[in-house]
Amino acid sequence: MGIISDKGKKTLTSFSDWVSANSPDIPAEVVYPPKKDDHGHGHDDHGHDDHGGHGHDDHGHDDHCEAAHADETHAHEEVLHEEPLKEASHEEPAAEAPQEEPAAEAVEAPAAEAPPPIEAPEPAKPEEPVSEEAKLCAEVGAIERSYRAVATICGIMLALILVVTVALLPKFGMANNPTVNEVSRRYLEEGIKDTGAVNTVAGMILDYRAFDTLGESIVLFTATITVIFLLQQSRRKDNEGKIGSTEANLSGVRSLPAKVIIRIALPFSLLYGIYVVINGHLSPGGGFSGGTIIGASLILSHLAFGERFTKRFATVDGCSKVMVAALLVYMGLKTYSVYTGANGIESIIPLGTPGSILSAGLIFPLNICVGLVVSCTMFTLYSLFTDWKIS
Amino acid sequence: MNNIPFITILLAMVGSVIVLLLGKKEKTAYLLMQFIFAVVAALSFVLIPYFLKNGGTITYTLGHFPSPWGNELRFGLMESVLAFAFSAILFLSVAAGKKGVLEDVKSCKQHCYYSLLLLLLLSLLALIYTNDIFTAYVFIEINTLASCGIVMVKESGETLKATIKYLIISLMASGLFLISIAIMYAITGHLLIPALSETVKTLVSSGDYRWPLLATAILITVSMGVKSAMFPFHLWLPDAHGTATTASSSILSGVVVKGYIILLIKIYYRVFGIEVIRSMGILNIVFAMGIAGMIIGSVMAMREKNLKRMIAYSSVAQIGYIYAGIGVGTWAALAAALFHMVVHAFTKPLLFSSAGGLIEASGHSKLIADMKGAGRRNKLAGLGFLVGTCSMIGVPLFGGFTSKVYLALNAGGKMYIFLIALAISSCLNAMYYLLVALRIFSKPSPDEDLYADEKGSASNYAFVISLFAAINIALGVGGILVYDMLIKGVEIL
Repeated sequence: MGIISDKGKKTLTSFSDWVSANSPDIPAEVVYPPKKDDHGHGHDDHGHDDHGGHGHDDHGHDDHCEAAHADETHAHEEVLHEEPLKEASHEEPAAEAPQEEPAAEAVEAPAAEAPPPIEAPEPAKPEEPVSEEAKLCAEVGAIERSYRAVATICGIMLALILVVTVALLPKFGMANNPTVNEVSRRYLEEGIKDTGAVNTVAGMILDYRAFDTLGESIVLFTATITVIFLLQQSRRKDNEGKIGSTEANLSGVRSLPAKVIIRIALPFSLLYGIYVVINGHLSPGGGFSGGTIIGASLILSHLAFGERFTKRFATVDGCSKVMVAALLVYMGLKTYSVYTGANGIESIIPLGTPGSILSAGLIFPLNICVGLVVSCTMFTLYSLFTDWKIS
Repeated sequence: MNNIPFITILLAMVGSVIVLLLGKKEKTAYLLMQFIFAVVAALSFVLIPYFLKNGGTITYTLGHFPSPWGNELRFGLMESVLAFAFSAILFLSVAAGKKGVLEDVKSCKQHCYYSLLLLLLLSLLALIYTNDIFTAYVFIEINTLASCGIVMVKESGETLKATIKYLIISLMASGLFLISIAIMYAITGHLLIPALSETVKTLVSSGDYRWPLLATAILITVSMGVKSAMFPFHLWLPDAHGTATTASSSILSGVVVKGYIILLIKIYYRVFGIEVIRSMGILNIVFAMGIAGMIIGSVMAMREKNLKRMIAYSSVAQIGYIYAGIGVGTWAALAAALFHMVVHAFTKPLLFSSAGGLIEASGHSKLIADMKGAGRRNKLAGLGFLVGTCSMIGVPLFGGFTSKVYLALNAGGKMYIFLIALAISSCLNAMYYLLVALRIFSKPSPDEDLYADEKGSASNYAFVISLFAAINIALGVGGILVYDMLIKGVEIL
C-alpha cells in the first residue's frame, strides 16, 4: 500500500526507537491484535513480515487468525475503516525495523518483542485507536460469524447435491451402463490391433488419448517450475550460510537398522520401478506408477543416506535436465504421431508382435519418458522442500 | 492450414521447456518468449481470412484415432480470432510490463517466469481449441498452476498470501470440474464433445438421468464461475490481480479469466445445447449474477483506495457484463459478450500497464491519494490510462462504447433490466475512473510534489501503450468488423 511517504518514514524511525526503548514496560496481554497485522502486510517493508508474524502467532493465536481471515473475505470492509487505523497500522513495520537480525535469532526473539507494536498507542493520543478497534472487532466478528454460517450452509448443500447425484448414477459394472458403448468396446476389442499394447490402459493413455497424457506430464513440469521458483532464493542463502543444510540432510538418519534395511531394499525397489516402466505396455503399470516407485526409491535413499550420498547420482539440477529432455523427446515423438495421424500419413513405426518387449510402437519410449518425468518431479519436489527452506 | 493450431500449441509447449533451459541468459529467454508469442499471433491471424473466405470449422485429430476414441481439436472463425487476440495481448502485456518484471522478479528466476507465461499461452490455446472436455480439464490444471505462479513471482508477503488464497479457491473449482466430468462420463460414456452432445440430446429427450445432468450443469457453471470471477465467487480476484507485478496483472485479467469463460460457452452451446441450459433455468441465474456483478463490482471499485485493486474490482464488473451477455442466450448476445470480452482483454492490460507507469511516477505508492500529478510526470501512462478509462466508461469512439451498445441492443427480452444495470454501472465506472483521471492530471501544489523527478518510462513501453490505445480506438470505430466475425464464428459453434 505504501502509505508511508519519505517524511513519514523519518517520524516512524524515531517512533520505532521509542517503541524499542519502551518495550519492556508494556504488558504482553493483547486484546485486539488482528487488524494491525493485516495492515502491516500491506506496507512497503514486506521483508519484515515474517519476523513479525512469529510474535503474533505466539499469543492470541485464535483471535488473530480468525479476524485476519474475515479481513480477507471482506476486503471491502477493510477499506472503509482504513482511515482511523492509519496510525495503528504504521506501527507494525516501524516496530519491526530493529528486529532485522539473522533468521535463527528472529525466531526466538520476537516472542518478547512483538507485543509492544500491538498495544503501543501513538504518544499523542493514547486511548483512541483502541476504542475504535473495539467496535471494529465486534463488527468484523459479526460479519465473520454470518460468513461462516453461510459457508457452512453452502458446503452442506453442495455435499447433499453430490450425494444425491452419485446415488442416481448408474450402478457400477452393469452390462447396460452408458459407459459400455462403442468407445470402451473398441478400446478393449481392437486395442491390441490398434496400438500393439497388451496392457489396454497403456494403449488408452499413450496412444488413443496421448495428448491428455502429454498435458498431464506438463502439469508436473509446471508444478516443478513453480516450486523451484518459490524455493530457489534460499538455495543461494544455503550456499553462503548453510542455513537449511542440517546434518540429517547431509548424511541421513542416524538409525543403523533403517540404513541397513534401506540399503538392502533400495536396489530392488529401483529395479522394480524400472521393470514397471519398461513393461508398461505389457503388464499393469507404466510410466506413472513406475516413475512413482523410482521417485520414492530416490527419496528413500536421500532420507537414509543424506545429500552427500544422493548427490552422486541425483541432484535437483540434474533431475530438472533429465525431465526437460524427457519432455522434449515426448513432444517430438507425439508431434510425429499427431502430424502423421491428422494428415492421413501412414506412420512408419512398426507395432511389433504384441507381447514382446519391443512392441506397441511409440508406447514403449513414451512410457520411459513419462517415468522419467514423474520420478524426477517427485525427487525434485522432495529435495527442494527438505534442503532449501522457504525464507 | 489445418495444422496451424497444433503448431501453435506445440510452439508454446516446446518454448516453455527451452526457455527454462536457457537459465542465466534472461535476455535470450525473454526474446525467445516474445518471438513465440508473436509467431503464434501471426499464425492465428493467418487463419482468420481463411475462415472468413471458406467458413465452417475444421476438426483436427490428434493422433490416428478419430472422434469418440482419440483427442481432437476443433476450430473455426471464433477460435482463431480469440487465439490471435490472446497471443497478441500476451505479447503486448509482457512488453509493457517488462520493466516491472525486471524489478520485481529476481534475475535468476526470470527464465522461470517466462516459462510460466508460455505455459499459460499453451493452456489458453488448448482451452480455446479443444474438442474434448477431459483435455480441457488437463489444461485447466496447467493454467491454474501457471497463473498462481505468475501471481507469486514478486515474492512479497501480500502476493504470497494472495497466491495461497487464489490457489485454494482455484483448486476447489478444478475439483468441482473434475467431479462434473466424472458424472458426465458415467451417464453418457463419452468425453469428446461431438459424441457427448449426441448422447446428452438423447438423454434430454428420453428424460433419463435428469438430476445428474442438472447437477453437472450447475457444477460446471460454478467451477468456471469461480475460475473466471463471476460475481459471488470473485473474492480472490482483487488480491491476486491487485498485488501481482504489472505484467502478471495485465495477463491475468486480460486473458486468463477469459479462457474459462470460453470453455463455459463451449460447454453450454456445444455439449448441452443452449435450449437445455435455458430450460434448466441456469441462463437466468447467470444473467442475474452478471447484472449483480456489474453493479457490485463497480461499487467495490469505488470504495477502493489502491489503484491496482480498483482496476481489479472493475474487472469483476466487466466480467459481469460478459456473463449478462451470455445469460441472454442468443447468438447475437453471445457474440456481443465475446466482443466485450475482446475489448476488455485489450483495455485491462492497457489500464494495468498505465497504472504501473503511474505507480512508478509516484514513488511506487499504489494509493490513489498519492497519485496527484502522476499523469503529468509520466505523460504516456497518463494518456494510456485516460484512453482505458474512456473505453471502460463507454465514451463513444472507444471500444467499450461499441461493445456496450451491442450488448444492450441484443439483450432481447431482458433489455430493460440490462439497460438499467448498464446505466448504473457506467455511471459508477465514470465516478471512480474519472476521479483518478482528474487526480493524475491535476497540478500538484509544490509541497505535495514529492516525486517531481520520477518519470519512469522506457522506449518499448511507449510503443506498446500507444499500440494498446490505438487498438482500443480501432475497436471502437471499426468494432462492427470484429463483431461480424464473432457472430459468424458463434453461429457454427
